[in-house]
Amino acid sequence: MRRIFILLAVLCAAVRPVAAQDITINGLADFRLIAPPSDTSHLEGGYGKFRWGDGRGSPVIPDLAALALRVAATVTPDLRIVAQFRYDPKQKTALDMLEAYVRYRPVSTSNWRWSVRGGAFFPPVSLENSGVGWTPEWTLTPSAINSWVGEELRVIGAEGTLEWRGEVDRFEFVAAAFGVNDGAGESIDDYGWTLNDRAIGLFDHIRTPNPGGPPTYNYQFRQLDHAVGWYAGVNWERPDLGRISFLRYDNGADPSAHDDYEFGWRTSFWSLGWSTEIGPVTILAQGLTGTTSIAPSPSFVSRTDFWSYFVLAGIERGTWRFAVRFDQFATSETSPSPPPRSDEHGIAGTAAATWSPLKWLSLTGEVAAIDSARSQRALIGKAPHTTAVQAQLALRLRF
Amino acid sequence: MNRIPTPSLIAYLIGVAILSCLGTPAAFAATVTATITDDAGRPLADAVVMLAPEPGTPMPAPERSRIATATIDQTDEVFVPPVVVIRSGGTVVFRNSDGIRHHVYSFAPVRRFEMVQAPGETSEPVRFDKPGAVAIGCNIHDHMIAHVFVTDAPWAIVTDAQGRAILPELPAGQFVATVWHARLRPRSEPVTRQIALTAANASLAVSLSVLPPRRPRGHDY
Ligand SMILES: [Cu+2]
Repeated sequence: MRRIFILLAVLCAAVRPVAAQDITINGLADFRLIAPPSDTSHLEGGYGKFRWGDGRGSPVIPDLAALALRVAATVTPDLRIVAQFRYDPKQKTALDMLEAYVRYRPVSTSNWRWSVRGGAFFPPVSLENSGVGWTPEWTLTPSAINSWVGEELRVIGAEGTLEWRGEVDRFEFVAAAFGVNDGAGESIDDYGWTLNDRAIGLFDHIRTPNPGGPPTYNYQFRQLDHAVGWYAGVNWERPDLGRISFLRYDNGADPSAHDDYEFGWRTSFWSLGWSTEIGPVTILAQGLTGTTSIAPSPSFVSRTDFWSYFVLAGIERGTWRFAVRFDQFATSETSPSPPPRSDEHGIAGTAAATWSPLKWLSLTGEVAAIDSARSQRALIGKAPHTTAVQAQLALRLRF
Repeated sequence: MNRIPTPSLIAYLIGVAILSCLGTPAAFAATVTATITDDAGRPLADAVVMLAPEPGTPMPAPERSRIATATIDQTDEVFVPPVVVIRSGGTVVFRNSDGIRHHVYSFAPVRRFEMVQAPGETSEPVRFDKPGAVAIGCNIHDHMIAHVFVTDAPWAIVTDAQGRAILPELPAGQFVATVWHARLRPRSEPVTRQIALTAANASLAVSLSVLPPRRPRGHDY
């Protein structure tokens, strides 16, 4: 955590000399009416797979989903600082930072272009989350894959990109080294896949199910060893094909490391994504498969495999935008601990319609349903299998 | 006294007759209205329609060309217009109407250049000597894209939102029309049409097979 404060101080110091006219600020205020599912949300310590759900079966609740700011400062034409902040009273700190990084990208008039960025940022996994506050473009709620990326992953380190820009094809080779994310993976073991649009802030922690006990938390942003995490990937883009993204990620955590708060969750995955346009329809598809493990003692090695994929189809018609998405996901745990273990499988369907009558105003209705089975629901006295629905109406103001 | 035509007068009359047959801009001014659509028959904006004469049809002097210069503005992190057409040797002026800097550049083989533009700045004319499509970007904002299409054709114009383009004051003669669009399929052949112009106005309807508009990918800020 101290490292993050130092990082923030460095960024603030760097921002100060920037001329005022070279700072772009975008904001998002997102007000919601939610018809929550009856299960208690994982964000409240339950096994509920949605963001909302208090276990009391409230019919409709109003909530502030996000107050987010994105600040982009062009220090020199080659050097850019980007930071995203979010206000949310439900966070550990009401004002939190989602990402903050410095990008150095000198101009190139050849086919090659390189860039580096350093700081804290989301790994380049999501095809959906391009909006202010890391909000998804087509739906209110991102896919299971990108809900997980938002909840657990953040690159605190440095990334280099080398692009080759041909007449038709374009390749991007990306590689990074990072740390301070040794807790990533615990949530997917603790409560599995979710559909949640609240990406975790850098100073926040996440509730973890502890039925009958006091609130317990996952601390994703900790460094427990001297190992370095890394990822490497390639993106291939051509106009008639779209963009194919391939990434290998490994947080490098030592599974035997731990402190008073957290184990070293060694998490690695492969991700393959494809985005394209077919006629007026935008298609996003992504699959991710990985594993996370801890080994606090030689006799206790716990390993959870996880995979998910989704396909999204979106279409824009005038001031309207429609999207449907199908997700499927599963986890399975191999562990010496007694059952029930972290085994689950499920499918989810999401449909969203957005009306944007003005550039700064939009209304979105979204219905998402998850049909899943998780053996650990027995710990709260419930059958493994459940179907949950979350419906939302969002009023979004932007500037 | 009967006047006998002198040899010089005969030569003059023959000359006039030949020129009349070939056509001159003053004598036969035709207007071509081009309508460009996509496969589905929807109007295609920002298509470049070029007309070049076949041998035997007079060419205007390059300095009379209407496509010697163009201006591309930058407003709200968008290049406006997204497509301009100029004649080989023509120039483009870049203007920044935003309150932030832009870094205009091209890595196209036919014309590589880069320049940082301060808020409110208007550039010196950038000259494009070789024909071809030049993609223009901003190195700060990757989502900004424009195209400068450089052509040897004496007449060219970009279609409007209705997919229409009007080319006035053309001489009569045989022409080849070529249509280009930034979303043509990769490595596709240029789309050409033969067109014969007389004194009357003519229309040109071309349907292009183009890729769907691309949405910005991932985050870029
Ligand atoms: Cu720019």
